[in-house]
Amino acid sequence: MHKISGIRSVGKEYVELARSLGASPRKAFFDIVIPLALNSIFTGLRLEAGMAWRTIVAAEMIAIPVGIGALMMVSQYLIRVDIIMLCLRVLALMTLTSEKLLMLIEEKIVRWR
Amino acid sequence: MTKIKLENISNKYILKKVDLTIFSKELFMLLGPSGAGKTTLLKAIAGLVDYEGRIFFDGESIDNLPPEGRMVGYVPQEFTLFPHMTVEDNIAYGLKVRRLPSPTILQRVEQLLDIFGLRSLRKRYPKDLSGGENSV
Repeated sequence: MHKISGIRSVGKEYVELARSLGASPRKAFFDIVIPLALNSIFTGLRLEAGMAWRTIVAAEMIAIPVGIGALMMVSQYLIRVDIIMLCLRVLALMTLTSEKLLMLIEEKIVRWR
Repeated sequence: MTKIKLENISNKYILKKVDLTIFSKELFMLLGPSGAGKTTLLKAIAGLVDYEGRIFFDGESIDNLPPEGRMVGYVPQEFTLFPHMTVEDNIAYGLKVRRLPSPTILQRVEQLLDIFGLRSLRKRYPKDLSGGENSV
């Protein structure tokens, strides 16, 4: 959704300017729309990365017998709160790492911001 | 000699059967209150909005030409610089999309940077320019 809204948020005026300068619709899309939408696209990716990790863990808790989610379920039966807390920390770390990684990539690519 | 001729130009919302003739070397001003359709008319000439009626350049109809085929430069009131391109990339963009040879583009960009005194700002992005520098 963020990717689509990012593309939609690019000012129509920029596309018109590119077209009047001689760019074809395809050229205007790749030269203007995509680069200007990158900001919103990366914001969406960062948000979705955290959501993706949480979804994986939720799936592991319900349907998959391996992974952090499954470990948390087993720990719950064994009343091992320490393992549950550790799993949550690992999940937080994974989410944070993905977000920071995407931020680094964004800084490299979206230099004009 | 007629350069631009508009016949019965109408648009869905604003323009109602506009006729206009602009002669070659004529300095032409389009004046009117806000919302009168000045920008829309210019966009119609540039092929950026849909319209009914006919537009001629030097007697040739351009109604079926896309904006990039009309050879009309349209400079909007705002959003005149692409924010993700440096000053020199902004200058070069119109020449690049028209597929001019690289040496010609480079030469023209250098010329324009000199003319407008922008040489020291060539690598800057629009966000790093002052309002005045942006409008240059």
